[in-house]
Amino acid sequence: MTDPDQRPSSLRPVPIRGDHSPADSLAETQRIAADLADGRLPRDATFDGHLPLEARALSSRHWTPLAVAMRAAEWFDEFAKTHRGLARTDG
Amino acid sequence: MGFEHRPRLVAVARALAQQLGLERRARFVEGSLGETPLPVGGAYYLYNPFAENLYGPSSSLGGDVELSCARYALDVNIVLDTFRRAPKGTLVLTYNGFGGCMPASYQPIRTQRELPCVLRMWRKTRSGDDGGFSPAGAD
Repeated sequence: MTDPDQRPSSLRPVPIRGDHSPADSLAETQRIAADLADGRLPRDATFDGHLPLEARALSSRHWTPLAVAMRAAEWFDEFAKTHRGLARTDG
Repeated sequence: MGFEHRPRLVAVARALAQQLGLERRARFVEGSLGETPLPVGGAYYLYNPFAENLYGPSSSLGGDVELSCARYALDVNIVLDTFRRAPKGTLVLTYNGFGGCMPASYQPIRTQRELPCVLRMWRKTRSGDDGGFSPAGAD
């Protein structure tokens, strides 16, 4: 097995919070995942914490709000359920 | 599958997918339209993705990629061409549009206006494409 620390830098897990430790980041990510799985919508600002610091202030201009992303996913899911010919892409 | 031209944002997306346990379902391609082929899919989602080309420096995510009006027009036309070549049945979801008009071979099948911007689902209903544009969705 490859020692994780010996992997090329491009393959190492990336801390995705610029102002939190990787452990804090993981815990928060898991909370967000649990909320989404339970149908609760995290605040966009909470999710934006995963963005690079310089991008967070611009998030609302550049990235889809979570409520819209959830609605889009619902529409795709509903369409797939009613149109059997749509190819699944989720493996 | 996501398509993004900034390597640092691709790295963030991949890391987040890994932390959420979605790395087998959510993949991200790093590349620029016109240089890297757009992944072929049965459904596309776009949130006015090229508008940054038209914003001023205060709304830019950085100067590490080319941003210009010419780039905007090029990217919109590449996406439009992709939609025109797509097979019948292809789905496109737009939130605040994609910068261009949808081809006439697509019909809007769902619309929601009770959001900050209009969310619309389109479906390609004709195999051929005559180069025309849909009269719907001009909002």
